Amino acid sequence: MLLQEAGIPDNVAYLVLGLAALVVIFGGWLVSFIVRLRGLRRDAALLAELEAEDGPVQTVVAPGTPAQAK
Amino acid sequence: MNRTLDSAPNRVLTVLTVVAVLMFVMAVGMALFYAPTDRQGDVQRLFYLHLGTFMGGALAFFIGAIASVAYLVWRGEGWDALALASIEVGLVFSGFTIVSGAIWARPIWNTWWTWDPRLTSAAIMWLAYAAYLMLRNGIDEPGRRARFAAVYGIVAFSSVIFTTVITRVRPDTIHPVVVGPSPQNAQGSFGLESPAMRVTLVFNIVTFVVLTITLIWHRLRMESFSRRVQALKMKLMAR
Amino acid sequence: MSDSIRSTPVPAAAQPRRKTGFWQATLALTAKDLRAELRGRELINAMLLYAVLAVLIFSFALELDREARETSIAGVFWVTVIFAGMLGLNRSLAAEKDRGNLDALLLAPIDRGALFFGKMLSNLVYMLIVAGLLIVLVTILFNISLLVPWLLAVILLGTVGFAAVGTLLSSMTVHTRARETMLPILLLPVTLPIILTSVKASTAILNGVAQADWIAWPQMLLVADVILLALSYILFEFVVEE
Repeated sequence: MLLQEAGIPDNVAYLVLGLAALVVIFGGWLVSFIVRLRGLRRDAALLAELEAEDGPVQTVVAPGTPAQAK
Repeated sequence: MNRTLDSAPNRVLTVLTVVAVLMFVMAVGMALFYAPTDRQGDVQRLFYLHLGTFMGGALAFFIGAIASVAYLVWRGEGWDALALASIEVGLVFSGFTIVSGAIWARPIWNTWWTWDPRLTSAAIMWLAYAAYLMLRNGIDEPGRRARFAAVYGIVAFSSVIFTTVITRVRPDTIHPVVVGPSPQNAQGSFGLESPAMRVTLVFNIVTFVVLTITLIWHRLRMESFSRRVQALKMKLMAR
Repeated sequence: MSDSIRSTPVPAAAQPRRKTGFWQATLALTAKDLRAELRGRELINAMLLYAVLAVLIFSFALELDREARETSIAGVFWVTVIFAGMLGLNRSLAAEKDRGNLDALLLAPIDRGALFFGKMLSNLVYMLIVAGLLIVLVTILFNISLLVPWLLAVILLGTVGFAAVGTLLSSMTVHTRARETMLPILLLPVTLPIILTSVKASTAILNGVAQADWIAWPQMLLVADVILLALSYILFEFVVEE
């Protein structure tokens, strides 16, 4: 893709490695961000349901709902 | 269905996100295809991203320090969330700065890493802010967590500034300075002779600054969402 | 904070009739710490033993021969002082908290700044005792005299800065979950300006380099000390505010 003139060392492999690092580091953060956001949305939905029921919350929530795990 | 807790879609942020993504694609494209090949070879193209992410990371840590001071002064929970968001994003950016520097150094300096003052101070900066996140994780009570984090955020920032000053006044660095006077021992220096190179560099810096602000904003919104979820959870558990 | 804490016995030194003067309170707190330490001596004994062990292990691990000694002895010295110092820092506030004294100290009518300086001074004294032992030890074991006036000044400056930031951060880490492991992670990166300048200055002094070539290091160390001491003093108030 890039013109190689005489005397210019060929180190395009390192450029590719650098781009891979870009993808891994920023992509990694993005994935972690999305995973965290999804978890929160799930929790929020669950909590909203529980709040709507407005019933004996304590007994319903207690057995191992993911939102409850602390 | 859970719009009550999740913040409503924000038009400004949506536009900003689209702009940032487009700019990012263009900035990387310019670094790869628009800028002419330097005498160092293609690996020099990483430099545009290296300096761009450095600027973005520095901005993020600066915002983090301001937000930490603001939290101690005004005690708004939002300041604490902003400090956390900025520092997390800053770690991502400066992480890439360090890794891309190492990758460039391998063919040019013939080593991945050297204990050059500049590299050392960058590594310590990263470690100090990683410690900031660990401190937050180690404290359960939210008020105390915010207070201690703000205190550490301020100490870390001043120390990073100081380390930077100490290491940069020394002339024994081999790290090239592309913009401004070059150190006498710099190895692997290159000038940005062609205007296309300079345009690429400026565009990359602007892009990564915009990207930093966008990511901090997203992270900040998620943080306030998370705090509302946490508060509701507490409320329901108390019943 | 609950009222019940008010009934906890306040240590004699921190129980004045009216608000005590700043330095008077500081010295009283330091004296209280040192007196308590003198009775038990668990802290200083552990620090001293640790220092001796560290020097022995360094001398094996680095195979400190004549040349290596000159270039690395300053590093060995500072690493040992710093890690021994962290041992002390970890205990000094944790002990107060475990005995329930911390709340009592905070309720006593003394300036928070005095509390900071009181703690910092006792931590500094422990570190200086360790440094003193190391000076003797290194002189005997490696035949390098560390009794150089400039070096002693650098040692004092370095330990002052380290004790200041260390006191601030250890007063935070006592409240964290993994407190003993948290302190080094927080403390080492932010005290780098102090460690770096101290080691560079000490190495140059021990190698008999011309003063003009190293005088910048102690100067930067002094500046770092002033900034970090002021910052720690100001921020300590926010750490102990509840």
